[in-house]
Amino acid sequence: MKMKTVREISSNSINNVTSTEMPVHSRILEKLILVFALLISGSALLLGVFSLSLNNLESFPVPAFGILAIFLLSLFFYLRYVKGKKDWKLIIFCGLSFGALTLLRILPEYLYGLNINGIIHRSFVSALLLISIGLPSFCFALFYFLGATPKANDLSHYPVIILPILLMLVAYGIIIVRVFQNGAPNINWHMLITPYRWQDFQQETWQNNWPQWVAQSIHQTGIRNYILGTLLLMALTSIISLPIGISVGIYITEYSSGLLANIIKVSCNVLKSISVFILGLTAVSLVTYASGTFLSKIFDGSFVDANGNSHLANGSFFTAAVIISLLIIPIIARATEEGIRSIPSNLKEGSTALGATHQYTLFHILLPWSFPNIITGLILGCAEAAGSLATIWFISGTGEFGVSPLRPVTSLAYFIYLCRGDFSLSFKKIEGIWQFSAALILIVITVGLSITALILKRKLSQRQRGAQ
Amino acid sequence: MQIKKKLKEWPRIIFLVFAILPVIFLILIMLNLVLNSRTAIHTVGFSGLFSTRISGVFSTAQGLFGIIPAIWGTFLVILVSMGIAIPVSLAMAIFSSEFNLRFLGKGMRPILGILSGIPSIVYALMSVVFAQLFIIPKFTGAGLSPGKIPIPAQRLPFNTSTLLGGIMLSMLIIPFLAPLFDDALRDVPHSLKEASLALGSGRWYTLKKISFPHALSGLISASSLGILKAMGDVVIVGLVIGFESPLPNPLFDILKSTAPLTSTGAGFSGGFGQSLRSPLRDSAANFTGLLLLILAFIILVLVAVLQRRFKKRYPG
Repeated sequence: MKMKTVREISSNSINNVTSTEMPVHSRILEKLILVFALLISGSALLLGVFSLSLNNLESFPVPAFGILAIFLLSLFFYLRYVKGKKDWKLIIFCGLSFGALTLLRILPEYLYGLNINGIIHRSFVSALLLISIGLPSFCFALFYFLGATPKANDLSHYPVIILPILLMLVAYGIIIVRVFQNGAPNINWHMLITPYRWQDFQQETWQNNWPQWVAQSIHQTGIRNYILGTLLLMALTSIISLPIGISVGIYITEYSSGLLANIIKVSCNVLKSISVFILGLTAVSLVTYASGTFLSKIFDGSFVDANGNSHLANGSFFTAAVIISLLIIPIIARATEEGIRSIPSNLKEGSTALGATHQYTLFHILLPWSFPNIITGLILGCAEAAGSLATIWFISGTGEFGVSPLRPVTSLAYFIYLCRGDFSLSFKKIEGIWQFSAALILIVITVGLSITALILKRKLSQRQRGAQ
Repeated sequence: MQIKKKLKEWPRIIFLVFAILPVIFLILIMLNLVLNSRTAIHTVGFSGLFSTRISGVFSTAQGLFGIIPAIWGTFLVILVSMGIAIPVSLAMAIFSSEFNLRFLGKGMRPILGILSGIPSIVYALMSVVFAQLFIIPKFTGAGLSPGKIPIPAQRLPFNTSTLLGGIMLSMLIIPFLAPLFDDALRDVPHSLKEASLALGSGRWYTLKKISFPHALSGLISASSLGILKAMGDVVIVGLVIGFESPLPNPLFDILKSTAPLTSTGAGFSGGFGQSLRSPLRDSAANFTGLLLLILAFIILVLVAVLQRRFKKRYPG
């Protein structure tokens, strides 16, 4: 009997604590404390995020820390005496926010010294403190707000994951919006169809049977040659890299799986992760080696200036395409490999069972099946080629002497660099306002290609799912 | 008969000829780097190359090719950019693979795919925006009147610093790194995760105790690829940080601009224009390229060793 009563008493005491039998005012108090803790820690977090770039929020962090500390303390005592639960983390963060409060009171507005090349504003420190204390407090508040269940434990960790993602997406958004803001108003039709030319030359005229040379100059500004150069670079690169990439993919999967295939695979991986700077150096060396030999017209490129003299350039579109295709071959090879490996085995076996040779299967079953994969890889590679600057950095020209495979290489990316780098002030003044327009066009090209590749990939996966 | 049989194999031979081309190219690239860097080693010597003295592009002293500052700059840039890129990419990977919020988690990969299309020159161009939003108000003493600026801390040129370069570089790396992390987390066997969930542990606990340790070797190899990308980029670091610079003092001053190896090499090779190009400078650039390749190789070997250790601990 005694045992039973003890059990009853204990069960009663537990029931008192659970919220179902709690008095109404206590439940309201609980919700109130939790909602305020959530609000305060959330606003502290927001304040920290905003003071990463704003300087005039300096009067807020100190009271924010004070209120946060008070609410964390009250939450701790509430849990301790009403729910009978000790959460020492709350006390630790309460102490931390008191420490941050005092630190911010002590700090002067500007920090400098130790020979550091900068004058750090106090709000940077307060932003870091607010984020690093506000985020965990927000998680604790969310945890108790959702009822302190295991599921609440999962949900309360979402802010830790979502905050960095949001910050980063906002950063990307800022970049894209700023490119649109600065670039879109300056785009006009005239600029798009006018090629850039900046040439001074002597024009020969005949007066009274005597030749006379008159100094002439053509000063046109526009970005047609850069856009055409980008397109030509993409086309040439895909022409060079497509057969090599496809054959690498086929050879690895279909013909050999031994040492040679491994060597090819490893070298493709190395090419993929090799520095673009090394490829740029290789381009320079290629041009240097070729100059003076019979290959100089092909690799160095040549142009005819306005006086009619022929010059050797620093590098042709062909050279640039060869170098950039080294970046793209691994992408196409990987795509081909994936396409061939994804073929349902019954298709391949059916072909073999009907008496088709290996070659026939390859050309009539495997390649058509992996064709969309190859196109996806090619499109991604084209996006890479359009945006790649480091590979053509050291060999580019302005492209004012025409755009064709054996002329000096140029592209939109190089135009943006020309506007950024302080080459000649005249150039910068006239075309400098167009750097954002060029960036916008470049982004539209590359991102458009990426989106096309993504859509194609999605269509592809649907088809494959349908086949299986 | 033999010839006929050989003739039937013509696609094999054609594919072999094309497929061997990347290998030949790779060997030629490495050979070219080694051969071209001989001149610099002969004239400047290893003691001159591995020194801290570097001649600025516009200074009168020429022929000083010390690359110790460049190596230190590479280290600093990797530190800053990976310090930002790894947590954010990890968060993105966890968000899209582990915590399936219906459409948001599925939307992560396409967003990353679109963002990876943005070329690096655009980030270099838009670094000015981040200088205006973050660097100027926080680190330059923008509110101070010119007379009150303390002497040791001069106003830094607002749009060039290692910190800004690292931030812009991290924005280039994240769309590349996050899908790799995502794949690594998805490669964890489903049976393990489901067993953990069935035994009553929450998703966060499963992530911490099951998914993360098992994906660790994949995560490390993905980070090594990210580090290689950070090391290899030249456009952003060249335009945002600079081409040639001395060693910073104090060493960890990321508010100064310390040019990494790639952009130093680009400076040697005429990053400021074609006029500065000379055989010796080109050769020094090739030497930095060779050093870059060796460093990349060392990192890959270290990662392979680390991976083997983790694979032993968590097989499967």
